[in-house]
Amino acid sequence: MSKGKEIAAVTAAGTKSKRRDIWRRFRRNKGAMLGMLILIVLILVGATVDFWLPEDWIVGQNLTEKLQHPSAKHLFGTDELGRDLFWRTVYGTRFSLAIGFVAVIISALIGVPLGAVAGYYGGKIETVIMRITDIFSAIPSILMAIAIVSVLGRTTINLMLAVGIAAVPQFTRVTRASVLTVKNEEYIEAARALGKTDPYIIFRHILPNCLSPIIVQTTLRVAGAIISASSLSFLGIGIKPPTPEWGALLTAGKTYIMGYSYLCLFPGLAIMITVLAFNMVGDGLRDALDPKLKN
Amino acid sequence: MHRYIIKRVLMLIPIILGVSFIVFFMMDMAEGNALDLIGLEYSEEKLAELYRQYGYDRSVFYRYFLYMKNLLHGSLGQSIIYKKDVWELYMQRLPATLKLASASVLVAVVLSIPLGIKAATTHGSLVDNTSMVVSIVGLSMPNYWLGLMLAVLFAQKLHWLPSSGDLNGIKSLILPAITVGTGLMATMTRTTRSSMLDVIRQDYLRTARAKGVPEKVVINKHALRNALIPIITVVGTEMGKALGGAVVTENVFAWPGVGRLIIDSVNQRDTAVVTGCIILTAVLISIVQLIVDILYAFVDPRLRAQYSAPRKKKAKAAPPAAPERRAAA
Amino acid sequence: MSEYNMENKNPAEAPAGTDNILEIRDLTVHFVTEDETVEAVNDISMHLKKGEILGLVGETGAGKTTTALAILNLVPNPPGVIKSGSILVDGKDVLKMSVRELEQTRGSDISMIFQDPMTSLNPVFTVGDQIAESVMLHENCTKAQAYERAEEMLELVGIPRERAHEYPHQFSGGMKQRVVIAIALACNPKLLLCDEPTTALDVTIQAQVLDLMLELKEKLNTSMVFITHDLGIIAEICDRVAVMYAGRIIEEGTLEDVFNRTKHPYTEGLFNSLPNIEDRTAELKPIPGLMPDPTKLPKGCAFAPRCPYATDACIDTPQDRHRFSDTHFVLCSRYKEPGFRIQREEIS
Repeated sequence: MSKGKEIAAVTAAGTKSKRRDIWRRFRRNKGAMLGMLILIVLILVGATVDFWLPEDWIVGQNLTEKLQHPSAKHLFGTDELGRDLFWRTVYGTRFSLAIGFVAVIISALIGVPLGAVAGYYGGKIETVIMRITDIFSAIPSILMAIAIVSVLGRTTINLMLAVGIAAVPQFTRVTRASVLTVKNEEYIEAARALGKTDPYIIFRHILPNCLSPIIVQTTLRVAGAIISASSLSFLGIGIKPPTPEWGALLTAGKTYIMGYSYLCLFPGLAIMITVLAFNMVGDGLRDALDPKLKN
Repeated sequence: MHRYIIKRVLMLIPIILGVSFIVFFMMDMAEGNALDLIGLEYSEEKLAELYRQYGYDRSVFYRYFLYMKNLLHGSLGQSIIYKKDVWELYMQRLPATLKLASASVLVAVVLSIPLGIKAATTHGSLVDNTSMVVSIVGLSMPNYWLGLMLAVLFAQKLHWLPSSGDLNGIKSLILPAITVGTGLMATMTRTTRSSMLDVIRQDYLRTARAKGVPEKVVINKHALRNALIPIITVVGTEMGKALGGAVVTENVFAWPGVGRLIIDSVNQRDTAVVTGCIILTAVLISIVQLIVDILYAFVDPRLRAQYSAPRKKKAKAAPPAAPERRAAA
Repeated sequence: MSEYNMENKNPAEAPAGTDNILEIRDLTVHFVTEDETVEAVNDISMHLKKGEILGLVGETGAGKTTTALAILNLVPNPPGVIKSGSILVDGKDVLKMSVRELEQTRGSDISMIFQDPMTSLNPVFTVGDQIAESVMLHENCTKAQAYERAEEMLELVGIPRERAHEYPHQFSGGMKQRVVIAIALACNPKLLLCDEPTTALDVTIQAQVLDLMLELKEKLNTSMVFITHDLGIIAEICDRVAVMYAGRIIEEGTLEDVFNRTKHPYTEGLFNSLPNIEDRTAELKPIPGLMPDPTKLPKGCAFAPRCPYATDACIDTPQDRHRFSDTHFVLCSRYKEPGFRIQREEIS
């Protein structure tokens, strides 16, 4: 084996054992494991529900069974048109998860490069980017999202965009802060001395070394995005009933909250459990990726 | 310190400019305008006149220019829908928002800081684990849902508390304050705990214990004082957010605060109201931030030194710096 | 244990039957976590006479600091557990004291100077406050009197009293260590534990701080346990020396005993790894290998794997104690063999 290969093998073994360490710490965190289990179930449901859930169960009206309280036949009860709330809630998983993931991908795609550039170059570029970030974060994010939806129109894609854009400043901040912590490390100096280009250094050396806070932020932001999106639906700005998105289900149920509070209870619980799962996984990741924060 | 405050106030100017620019143009891009909404009340000539008056017959730049001109004269403009001064509208709504914000922050601070300390000092115990589970659940509840459920339980089922409006004094404040306060409490408990956990391992606490300082004093004086910075930061941030109006909670409880005014005005395309309220909110948040910064200096002497240091440095370094720079160039 | 002849500086203060300010008997301290148990201190006994300075030498991780913390009953728990033993300070067992008694003892009877002055001071209080706090706790006095005393202490350690109002970040490392010393000495402790008080300082400051400590010791007649891994400092200030390895005292004796009549292979290794000023060309001979993992201590002698004299028996069976004089003993089984001598002894 040549010297270079040997070093590469040792390094690979190093990162492998590091990954195993992270996994070991993560696995020991009961909350995080529970969260992950819930997430796996939710993602499986969200991804496949279109294939196995008969459409009739979701939209099929049955006025003879309207507004029935939860029972063995209708686990979550039925709504004002006799639709089964349990199956509508199950179907809603795909909306909430999709909105959460897409929104966060949008914020990360904009926020991470901006933060990386600001942190890496510093000086005027940093000042400009961070001042603009300040301005955007001076507008409360829910209002920002509302404004964006009113500009773009009320569609699911626009809702994702709105929630995503409103969360960009947080990604910019976190990325910049963590880039600042690594940019003066010696291996960056070394890469620069070797004449590597700036984009190469940023993407190959800096970002991989400050991923931990970004990953944690991403996980936690999915939770935030799900709440924001459902809040917009609740305020009548996001997804409209009768689409069985959880926020919209809740909004529709609000009309009958006197006497039929289960119509609001279950969609809300669904949101809470999903968000809780993301939060627990995010916390677990943070503790696992950065053990000194915990012990 | 004065200089620092002045600097902070000056930094508000670009923020106000930026915020007003963004909000103004976004409102313009949204479909429809406020005049069309109330247009039915007026004859065609009157409407045309209003269009001219508010500049809707010209470009958005003209309207922005008009708005900024008014702003320079200290006026936040007129609401088309409410036919009132924006300042007046805002001031009408501010007390309710202030009341809700301070009540929820106060409740959260009083409950969460002791809880966070207890959790950190008994790291790994039942108290710690329970408080962590409760706070992560609290953090995961959508505000509007929590509000609705509280209203169902305490107003409809138990008839203990009113579920809407701001007419029954403290009683009508309780449910909205709990709704907003739950999330705050969760965040603050977690921050207090993690900040205390960081500090608790510091060597200087061992020094204090070795001096014979009782454990209670070690925690509540030596440790807490050092853990305060992140806690103050979170309290400030959350207070700032709450001052922007708890949009969703205000909606659930029909609370007459700033948040609802802004939402309604967005939907009615009442540009002046939206822009004005967001500017005022930004100013308010900056003031809270400034107070937080000043508190930092009280808590941590190292930060105190930082605030006054640049001034000294500049005063001393400025005269020789200029020729040096020229020489270098 | 203490049958040999000695000088007793303060007979009046000694409780009947003993003139030891400190007596540790069979102390064992472990750190127990979910996954593993660190055997930090294993069954050590030692004593300290009034006015004496005992040097505690050993590598990082040998259990020196844990021993010192145990004397203050300050071993962090969890994970630290004091498994067994007693620690008598002036005749009273600190391990059996109530919380109240402990608080009264810490800082007044026993004080400790910590290793790293940069982190040992609370950054948010003035140094004057931090010294005065100790005085307020242990002496019946007003705040003003305590502060006055704090200023005196600062002067005593060579810092102008006006600086009492400043914060730790305004002091240099050496100055901070002086403040730490001032805190420790503020209430005239009978027993002072010094945990590498000079390691974090540069050499010139080191000398100043050492001189200062010796001077103060003379003035206040304090007994000291001095922890260090620097044999030079030991030679300079200590009366007796205890060498620790993997949580045990493996050689103990007077300064003369340990330095000139070295018996333990590990102690010999320590001396060999020092640069020799008379023979500058001589190669340094570091001890091969590393200290054993304290979570998996071997059942035999912990030093055996690194020891040039080790036999199979050393690896399998616990070390025996071998006494050479009233003051000098080692923990090494090879001395059961009548003719056994280490290299260092053969040369000298």
